[in-house]
Amino acid sequence: MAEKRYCLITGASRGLGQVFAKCFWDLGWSLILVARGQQALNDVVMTLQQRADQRVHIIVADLADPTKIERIAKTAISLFPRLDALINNAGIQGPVGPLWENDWDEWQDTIQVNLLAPAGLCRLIAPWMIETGGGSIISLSGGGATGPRANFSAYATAKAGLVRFSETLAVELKPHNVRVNCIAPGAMGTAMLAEVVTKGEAAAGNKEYEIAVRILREGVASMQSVAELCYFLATNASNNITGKLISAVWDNWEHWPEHIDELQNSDAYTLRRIVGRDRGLLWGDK
Amino acid sequence: MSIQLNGKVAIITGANQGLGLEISRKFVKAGASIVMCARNADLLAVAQKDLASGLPSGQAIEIVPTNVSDSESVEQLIKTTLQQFGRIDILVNNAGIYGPMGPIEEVDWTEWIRAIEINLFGSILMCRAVLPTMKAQRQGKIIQLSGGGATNPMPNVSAYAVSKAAIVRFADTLAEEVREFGIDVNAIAPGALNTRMLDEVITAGPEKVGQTFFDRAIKQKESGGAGLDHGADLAVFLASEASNRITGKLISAVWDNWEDWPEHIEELRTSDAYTLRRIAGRDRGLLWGDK
Repeated sequence: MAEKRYCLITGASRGLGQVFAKCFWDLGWSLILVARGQQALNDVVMTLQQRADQRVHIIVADLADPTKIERIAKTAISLFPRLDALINNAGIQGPVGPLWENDWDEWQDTIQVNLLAPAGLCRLIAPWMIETGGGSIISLSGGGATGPRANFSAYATAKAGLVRFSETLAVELKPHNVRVNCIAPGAMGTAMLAEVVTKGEAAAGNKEYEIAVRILREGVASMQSVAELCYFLATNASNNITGKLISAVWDNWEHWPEHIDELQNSDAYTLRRIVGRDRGLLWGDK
Repeated sequence: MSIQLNGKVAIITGANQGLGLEISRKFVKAGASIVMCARNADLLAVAQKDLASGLPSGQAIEIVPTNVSDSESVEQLIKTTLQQFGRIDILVNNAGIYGPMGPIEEVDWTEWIRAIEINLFGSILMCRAVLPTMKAQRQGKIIQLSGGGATNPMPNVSAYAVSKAAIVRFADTLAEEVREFGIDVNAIAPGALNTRMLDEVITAGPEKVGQTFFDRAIKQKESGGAGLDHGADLAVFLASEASNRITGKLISAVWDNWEDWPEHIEELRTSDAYTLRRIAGRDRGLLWGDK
């Protein structure tokens, strides 16, 4: 019989978080699911087939409230003997439109939910993982982590910050057998994307709006493939892969375990400054 | 040809010491009127006195004690600047702190959040405050100071690294939003400077910042580090019309040949060179890594 595995997923009541919950549950893991809405969490729990040797708990909490982070961590520590994976999936889109039209409170809340909450959770969960022999932390990145994203400045800023946080934490926690990675899921047909259409072309910009409409119409990169990457990062299959930002759509991650040394010694799959010579602009560098 | 800022009005944050003071000095030398701000009013007064000697008529140096993470304080600064000069051509977001040093599970969380508030929210509040004026003028230059953690992970100095990567992404995003208004937004990587922040690393000690980082700091302290004037010269360039249409870039004062960039505006505009991006496998010849 396989060893018991434990994970905590934030933003687990819908979209990707819900898909992760189902995937990990079906593979035998016990779960703590965190989200704002109790009813929505209960609905997700109802979809999980009951099993005698697995447990699922819910924690109702709004990550926009910084005081809730400690309660989530304490509750998790009281419920499970250890945590194999922490999945920072919760995120909000934040204000849509140019900076000067954004509501400042909404802007700051976006940084709280998308950056400070997962960082705070990592800070409280990391010592527990260290004590219990290690673990894997996985954070969801998104459009704006890897390039500018006009009209979504709060979201882009938070996600770039979260990626750098994860890379930094990966270095700090490496001696303790805790791995930290980020997933770039690709464009998903989620509530967040539907919101871009609702907010409209004027706020989002015509490029973002057209992409959203097309994705909602034609379907998208599958959430299942993101869940597979997430599961890969949560398990020993990805041993020694840490500090990377991995694309569910573009990266051949299934084969990365054959190239661990090269991955560890390269800045590939991280957020770095592109210099002139990377692009053949020989006049640009000294 | 030396770059001129004649008739320009600049706001410089964190202006009372280190790189902020050096940028202020070079801006004045290039002909700009400046508003120096920082939290410490006494140091500001000393800096003002230092720069004001021999100032030509038509140029002015104002000081406004400001807490950039406090929106009321920032609004007051803008109000004072507009009353005095009637315009704002240049904003230099230089104010910043290292924040707490040590592994994430040991640092004081209030201090960690404070570093985000000053380095990230402070710079963004400043941008929000100058944008109405710059948009109305249909011209402006926003210069954001980046730092070590913007381009790399920075273990044991995580608040700083996070805030700097985040603010660089903010800057290139804002650059897209304000392009049509003739406003350029760029970030400067000033190089490893021997400033107050380096002393903080050395004071914190190897237990907190890690042996590698500590040893590097000691070595830099002894060797002198990158000169402040590289960063300040680049700031003058980015503040001037010589850099028009260079926007959304993260520019190294030490490694980039920015003096020649104006000859390559179109290539710069259509390339992601000098920005913060995800390095793909093919960028490093790892052909097995990408799909």
